[in-house]
Amino acid sequence: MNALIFGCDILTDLIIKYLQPHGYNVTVVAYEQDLLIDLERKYTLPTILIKDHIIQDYLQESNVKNVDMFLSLSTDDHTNVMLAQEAKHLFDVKTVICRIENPELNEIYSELGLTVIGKSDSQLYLEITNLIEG
Amino acid sequence: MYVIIVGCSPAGYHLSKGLLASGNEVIVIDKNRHKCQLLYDELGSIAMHGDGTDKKVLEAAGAARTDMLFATTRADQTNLIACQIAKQAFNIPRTAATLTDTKNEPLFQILGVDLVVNSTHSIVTQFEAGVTDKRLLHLTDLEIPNTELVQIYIPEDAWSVGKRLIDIPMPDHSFVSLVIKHEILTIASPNLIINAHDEIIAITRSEEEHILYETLTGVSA
Repeated sequence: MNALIFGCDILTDLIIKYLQPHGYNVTVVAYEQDLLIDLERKYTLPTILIKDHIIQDYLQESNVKNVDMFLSLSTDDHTNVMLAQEAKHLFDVKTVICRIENPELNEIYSELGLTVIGKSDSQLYLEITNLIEG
Repeated sequence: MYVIIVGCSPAGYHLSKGLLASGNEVIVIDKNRHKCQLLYDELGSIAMHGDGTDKKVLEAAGAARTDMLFATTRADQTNLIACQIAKQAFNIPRTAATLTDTKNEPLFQILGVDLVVNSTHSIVTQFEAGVTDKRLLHLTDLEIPNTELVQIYIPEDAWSVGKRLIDIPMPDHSFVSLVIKHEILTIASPNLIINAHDEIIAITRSEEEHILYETLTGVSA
């Protein structure tokens, strides 16, 4: 099975660590060159560096048509939303997961049928303060 | 008509002026406070500082009573999201967006943006018309997906010269609408004879335009 991840941060690292033992061939496409090099070394996987603003070309280069799962995990809600919808509606990817930190956008795109994840800073703040207060 | 414009880009600015001049009520939302101030100084209280993809900002801008939302920022993803929120959260009847990456156009159409203005496409078309000698011009994309209006110049050695329109075997989804003869528009009746230097205005599908061009001129596009 093939999985494509857009975005490269600690979450990406954790998801790769989970997916590879489950038999997924993972490819990562992102803007962050240094982080991609680190991932390549750590997990021996293909990565694609985005060098300009026309991201859809990079999705096609990443063979998005033939992946079983697309995870839009960058920290940019707007780009995550657009790419996730492209994967779902233009490339018919079976499983699409989209990270959206903004709670209102999160709610709207859930209603629109995207599978969304994400915790906003305000939610994290509440969780942390609740823990501190016991 | 009450219109929300998201993004005080050059397109947003000129659109707001045009809409105001024709008697519409307009508000322009932009994240850049300086741009909002400039707009306020020139056009009065139609500028609103904020993020046009923020539901609360749109609500404060009067989205619930809006007839149309135009998203004209430089970021395709922001424009798409503004239009989707407009429909999903506020039931705004019509949405329109500018687009810079041509490849995003099918997605915008699938996701229900009513009018997609492809600025890159427009620039390329104008260059084609004004700078190059290309004889197949894209005039505009129609609301029907993958359907466009094109203009084809008929050179002297074209296959179709001297033939009646009815005798030219058109591709399945291509229709000649008008013919420009010596700068005069002529309805494309079946018996109209095609002459050299005519300009054919036709509706065609994107994947068929090169076949239409070849049919009319005898030359590959």
